[in-house]
Amino acid sequence: MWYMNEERELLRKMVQNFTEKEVKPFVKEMEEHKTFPREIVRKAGEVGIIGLTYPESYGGSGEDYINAALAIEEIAKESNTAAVCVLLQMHLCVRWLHDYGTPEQKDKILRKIIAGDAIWAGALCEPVGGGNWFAYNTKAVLDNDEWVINGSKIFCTNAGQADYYAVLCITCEPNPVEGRGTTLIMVPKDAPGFKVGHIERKMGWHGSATGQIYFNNCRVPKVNALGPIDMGYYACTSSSSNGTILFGAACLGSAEGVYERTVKYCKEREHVGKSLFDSYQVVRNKLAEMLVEIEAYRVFIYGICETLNMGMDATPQLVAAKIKGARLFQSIASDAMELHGSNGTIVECDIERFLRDAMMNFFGGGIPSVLVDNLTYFI
Amino acid sequence: MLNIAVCIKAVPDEECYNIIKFDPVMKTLIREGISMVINPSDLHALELALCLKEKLGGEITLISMGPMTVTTQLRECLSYGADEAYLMSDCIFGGSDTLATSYVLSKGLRHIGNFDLVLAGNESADGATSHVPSQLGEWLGYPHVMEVCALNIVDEKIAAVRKKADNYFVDYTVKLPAVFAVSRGMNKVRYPSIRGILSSKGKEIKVLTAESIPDLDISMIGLQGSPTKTGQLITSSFHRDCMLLDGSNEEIASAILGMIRPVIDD
Repeated sequence: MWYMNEERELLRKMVQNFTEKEVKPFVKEMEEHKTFPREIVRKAGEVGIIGLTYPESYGGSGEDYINAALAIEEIAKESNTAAVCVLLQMHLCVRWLHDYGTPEQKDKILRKIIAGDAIWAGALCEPVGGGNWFAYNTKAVLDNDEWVINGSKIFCTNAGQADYYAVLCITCEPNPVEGRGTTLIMVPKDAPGFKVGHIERKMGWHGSATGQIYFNNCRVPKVNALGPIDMGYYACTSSSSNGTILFGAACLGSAEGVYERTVKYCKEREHVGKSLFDSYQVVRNKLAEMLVEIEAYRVFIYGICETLNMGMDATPQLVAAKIKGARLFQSIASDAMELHGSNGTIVECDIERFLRDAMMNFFGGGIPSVLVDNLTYFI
Repeated sequence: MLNIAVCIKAVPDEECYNIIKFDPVMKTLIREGISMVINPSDLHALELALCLKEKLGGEITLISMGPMTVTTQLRECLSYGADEAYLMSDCIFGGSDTLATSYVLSKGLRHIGNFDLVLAGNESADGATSHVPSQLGEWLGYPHVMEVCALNIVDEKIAAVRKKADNYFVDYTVKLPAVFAVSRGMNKVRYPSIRGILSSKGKEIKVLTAESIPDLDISMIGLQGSPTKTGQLITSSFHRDCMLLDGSNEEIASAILGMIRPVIDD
């Protein structure tokens, strides 16, 4: 491929080896016991995978979205869950800290996240308000040199696992037209008044903890505000969008993982003396159609990565990649399930796991129908 | 500060074993279409070198003999944290057996500089003769120990090493410089770091030809310098037949004995 060179081939090979030795043996534990892959994240930090999207000054290796996507693609071939747990530390909500954190905050916390020694969580969603962040109820008020937070968040990824939570709080009378009213406040896991609630049982992404968190007169220092006071909406939306490409890379990798398993199955599964692949044109054609979709999406994804590497804006393309990625992964996993027949439904077969994880990509990081609506602004 | 040389060999990827072919005339491996990897044992030697460098400081120099394609494996080794790499590549090196190979490597090492330690994997995954480390020690005039499973640098002149034997260990105190062949159980090979991978592109891989080494004796290298002569190439048959025996246990045992005995007696 046009984006590959000797160093990227070495990177791909290293992550492939990392995935084989660190991720693959942990898949069953994640699936059966819903265990968060903390050790995988720690080791991903240790070898430098998390640092692929961060500057060298904080322990990263410079921002290169192609390198980052390559790493996530390889991990996702084995486990979409593990890939998502790693990519969430590489960009997205952590980007708030990178872009708006003070030098002291970054030196203390970002460095640890990049090294894999600390877990970060973004806490936005609430039971009421939906996508309207200005209608949320979690409030923070200043009391001398401390923020006092009251309220709750739901669907908080890494709930109970994170060392730090970036919480979007209402800090003044909301004015959606001006984007004013919210502030991002960083809450350490041991802050007084902070509590982790129920951890949800989800259909997929079993290793990724999603749950409720509560703030009951939770006190954190005033300096824990991330970015401009009362302008948290902009801090959230302006800095994390490039990380969406990593969700695309995860969908690409998992679609490839499913495809490769399906090709193997169709070539090995005998039917009336011949393999499924040799017996039926419809099987061969289905596999070819799957390949068409995967390869087209690969070109799309890495084209966007190159655009981001050049420092150019690719917002509509990123939204499109998020939508297309979820659809691609779901479509490939469904086709794979059909080709596997009843075998595909068996837990040990992996295909049902990928299909469940594929469905999660419709919700994590934005529902396609909402994203499509967002995309209409660019038309 | 230690000056460490690590010998690296490119071997066929084990996933390609089922498609490997041999040249029936030259009786050598046909490399075209075969993906090559770093000899697994050599990675353990490199890991030892990296640990020693981290602990005591120094430089790691890689050396390999082979075609130009071996730069890929050397580049990968550089990404683990080695400092420089030399590839001895010349068509007249082709066909060298272990003796000729170790001779070429010894001349290369002498040409490059002085080393406190020369490390190698205990055996290669393809030939698996385990000849080269010892032969290299002899050519260099250094003490050499095979199957090293523990190593401690006592001072600049002395290393304490533990060699794995059949069911026991042997401890040696070895004067440096020396050649050590590292066993695979000695350590766990790290992953190359992303920084190591990205910085490896800035490291030059220097190529040494026969002409680069002034005192190289041409009669000692390649096919003419190799006392090992490949005999007949045969393909082993792994065909098995299944025979079902009927009768009582005694009758079946007797029938089996009847089939085994002629083979044992033969």
